[in-house]
Amino acid sequence: MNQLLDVKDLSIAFETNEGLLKAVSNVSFQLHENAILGIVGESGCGKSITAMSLINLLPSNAIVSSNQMLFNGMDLRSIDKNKLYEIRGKDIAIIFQEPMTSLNPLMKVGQQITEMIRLHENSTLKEAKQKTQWMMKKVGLSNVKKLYHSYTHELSGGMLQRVMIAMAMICQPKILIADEPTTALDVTIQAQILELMKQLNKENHTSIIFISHDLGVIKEMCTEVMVMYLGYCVEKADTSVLLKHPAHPYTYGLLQSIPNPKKGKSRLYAIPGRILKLSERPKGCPFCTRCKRATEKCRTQLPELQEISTNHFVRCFYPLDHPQN
Amino acid sequence: MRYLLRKMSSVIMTLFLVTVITFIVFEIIPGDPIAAKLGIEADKVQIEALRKELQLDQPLIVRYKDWIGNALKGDLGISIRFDEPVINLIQIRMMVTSRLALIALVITIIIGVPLSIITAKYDNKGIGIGTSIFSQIGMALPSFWLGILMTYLFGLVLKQFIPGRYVPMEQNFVQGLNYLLYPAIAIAIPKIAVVVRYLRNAIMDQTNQDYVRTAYSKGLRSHQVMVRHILRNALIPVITIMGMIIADILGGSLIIEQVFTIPGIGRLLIMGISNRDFPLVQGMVIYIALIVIAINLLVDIMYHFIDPRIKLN
Ligand SMILES: Nc1ncnc2c1ncn2[C@@H]1O[C@H](COP(=O)(O)OP(=O)(O)OP(=O)(O)O)[C@@H](O)[C@H]1O
Ligand SMILES: [Mg+2]
Repeated sequence: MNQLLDVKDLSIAFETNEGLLKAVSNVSFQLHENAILGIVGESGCGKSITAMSLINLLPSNAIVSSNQMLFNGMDLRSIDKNKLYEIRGKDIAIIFQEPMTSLNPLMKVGQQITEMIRLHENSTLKEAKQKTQWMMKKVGLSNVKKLYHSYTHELSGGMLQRVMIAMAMICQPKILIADEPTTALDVTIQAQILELMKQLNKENHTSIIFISHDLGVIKEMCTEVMVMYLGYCVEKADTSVLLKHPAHPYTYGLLQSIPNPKKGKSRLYAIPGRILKLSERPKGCPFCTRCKRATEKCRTQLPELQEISTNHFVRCFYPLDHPQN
Repeated sequence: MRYLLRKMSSVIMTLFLVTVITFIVFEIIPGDPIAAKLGIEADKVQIEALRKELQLDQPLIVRYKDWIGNALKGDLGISIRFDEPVINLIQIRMMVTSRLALIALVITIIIGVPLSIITAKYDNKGIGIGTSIFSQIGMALPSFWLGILMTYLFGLVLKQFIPGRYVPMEQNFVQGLNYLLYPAIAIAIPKIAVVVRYLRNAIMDQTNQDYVRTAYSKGLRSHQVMVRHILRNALIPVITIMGMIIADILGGSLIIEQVFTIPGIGRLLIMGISNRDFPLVQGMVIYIALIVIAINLLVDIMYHFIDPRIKLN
């Protein structure tokens, strides 16, 4: 499989009133052609900003550094502005977390999709309009002629998310970043949207970076998973491996908290303790404040990301459930 | 439809009240149109004749009824002072004032909007503070004072125009424009300050919205994002202020016309009032009320066009 994206040691910090806050630390990941890479973690762990940094969409107070950020052999850190504008939308497109606020309220939704086509393809307005309506149908919207001329306040969250997907997919990007595409939606629509994205991945060979805080959803969607905690990559593996042999206590906790109707557990498991603020990051392992197994070593030293079996990385001194342990 | 009906009825009510109030005010304030016209040495017969002609011997209600009856037919009467139909007088002057206001408005927009965009773009403390200080000062400058300053600077020192003179555009377009330009600038400067103050904030608010990030993620360049996405959204909170600015520009021009001796509505109104020329003043009051109503309507319609979330009702 070809590597489409290769990111090494990505770090992101924010200049704020409280000083420099480190939000992402030395995260590395690869995205292969046709793959769906999941990024999972609790709110605030840096999933969105990691993805946004790829095409330079972070606010101006963000400081990004990395050793490498290759897309298709091109270094995204040093490309010129024009190339960046070309890549945005055409090669790498994003579906944002909040469909309600992520579209322009004053522009017809159809026009917002057409704008994308006109920006990257040489087509007449009429062709672009037709293509838009075709795509809107494809993502499961009906009555598209009328819908084309609607505004965001006239559509439901599910419909808006479909519009977002249509917009992101319209130029057949090589990479689609889906930032919690279903969090704002109710369960039945969630399933439909996920199915739709899988289908687009198969048909168009679009690789997807799928961001979620729900391992249950990731399980259904992704080929590989990266688990993040407080800006660190704490575990990374193929989905099947990660599900069978979670090595990091945090991953284990996340797996425990997936609701499972078959087991008929009445109480949902929740990882004890609270999520820390960026300004409170511990010196040692980021997870040590909530980890039952944490020792003095965990509190003072930061474990390295180590490969415990082929393509299975974990950042823990005492990984769980591993043949060698 | 319901919107139009409601709007119409409120327009009619407003006009009715405005005319009644001016009639009453004219009854109360001291001064006499006959003395103003004939002078104090006029003989009794003349005075009586004119009094009859102007129906000043009739009670207020009768006069109002007559006046409104004629006004509804489109006849606003004859000016006492000028012996000319009020409508003609107003129309000629209105041309001058509306040109002045239009030029001032254009200046306000073509300087105010880009200035807001530029100052909003540099979101640093220094420019932020600088902009707010300058806009505070600009807003505090009275138009007439700017007018006097400009008359002195451009008229007397730089000799760009001759103070006290006025050339109509019909006579000489370039000269006419020149004579309206400086007063228009004097009107525009405080208004530019108002526009920058509000529009800059509105733009900065919009820049942090999610849809702007989406626009960038599509590959739009920053000027495209500004023009196609941010600006329209930023204009929404500014439209009402724009309406007030237009009304203000018309109001401001009343004073500026005095400073620059421009024969517009403002000077006509002042002459009308000081001569107690009530048909003239009455007619102008209607005119001005109509303009204010029209601006209100325009603001409503603009809202409707810019913001699809607002339905006229
Ligand atoms: N402009 C900013 N200035 C300061 N801190 C920021 C800024 N943007 C994001 N952060 C911080 O960076 C961290 C990571 O944010 P991010 O949006 O990536 O979280 P996330 O993992 O996507 O969470 P969620 O599941 O809630 O979307 C958060 O703690 C957030 O507070
Ligand atoms: Mg997020």
